[in-house]
Amino acid sequence: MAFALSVTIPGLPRTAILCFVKENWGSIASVWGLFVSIYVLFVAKGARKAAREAITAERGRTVVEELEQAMEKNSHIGLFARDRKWDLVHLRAQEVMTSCRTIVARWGEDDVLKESKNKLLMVATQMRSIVEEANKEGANSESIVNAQLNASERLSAVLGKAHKERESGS
Amino acid sequence: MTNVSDVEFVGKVLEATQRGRIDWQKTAVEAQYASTFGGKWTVLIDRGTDHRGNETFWLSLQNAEGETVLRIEQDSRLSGLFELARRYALKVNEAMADFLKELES
Repeated sequence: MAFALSVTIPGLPRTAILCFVKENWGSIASVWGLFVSIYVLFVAKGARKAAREAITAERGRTVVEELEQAMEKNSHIGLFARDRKWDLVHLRAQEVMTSCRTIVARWGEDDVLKESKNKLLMVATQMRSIVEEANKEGANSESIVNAQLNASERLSAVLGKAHKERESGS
Repeated sequence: MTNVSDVEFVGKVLEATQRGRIDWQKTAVEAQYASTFGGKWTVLIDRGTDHRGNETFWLSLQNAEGETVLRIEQDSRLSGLFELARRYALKVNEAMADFLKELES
């Protein structure tokens, strides 16, 4: 400490510095402690921010992956409906519906995502209607395909937005 | 918490539909139209037939989990609401305007 003082105040005699340190070691230690605390706080804040960003990025990546899977499964619905494979239509529609509701629930009350949540809820509603229609005897494949296309448009819009947000890092 | 009656609820949905503020969409189920709001609500209007073969209409509200929290059947305005929702979802007004434009040209 005396060395540090002699470096910062070159004209001061060494004995005066030692005397000052001896008399004020408590205060000097407190100031030093304060600097260390500020430094630790600064590092911890940075680490917390980095951790938060990593969590957000991970969530974004998961949502994008889930939406991509939902898109793929939704396209299967169209194919299975054309072949009148109602069990598979039912299964895929349920999977897409669950994915959409899970994403909406994970997003919580965030108002910024309201439009995307509305779109996913509409996809979930379309999927439910597809399940209902596929369970009927003589299910209407045309109305199922139309609902699937409606859902596809909405899923694409949400996926596009999710990709954009992930790329911008928000 | 505000107390909203079923009558009021139907009135508000009808008014918003008349103003074109509800984006009704056709679903895979015949004669069913739906719209979503606030990132958590889904409103549906359905038409069906009762055991005597009479037309019936019902308006339902679902939460984000897909649970039906409200179902209204006994309201004479529901048939009008259904027709407005159908016209909006199928873009009937645009179709008629385009048809008339073609007719006049």
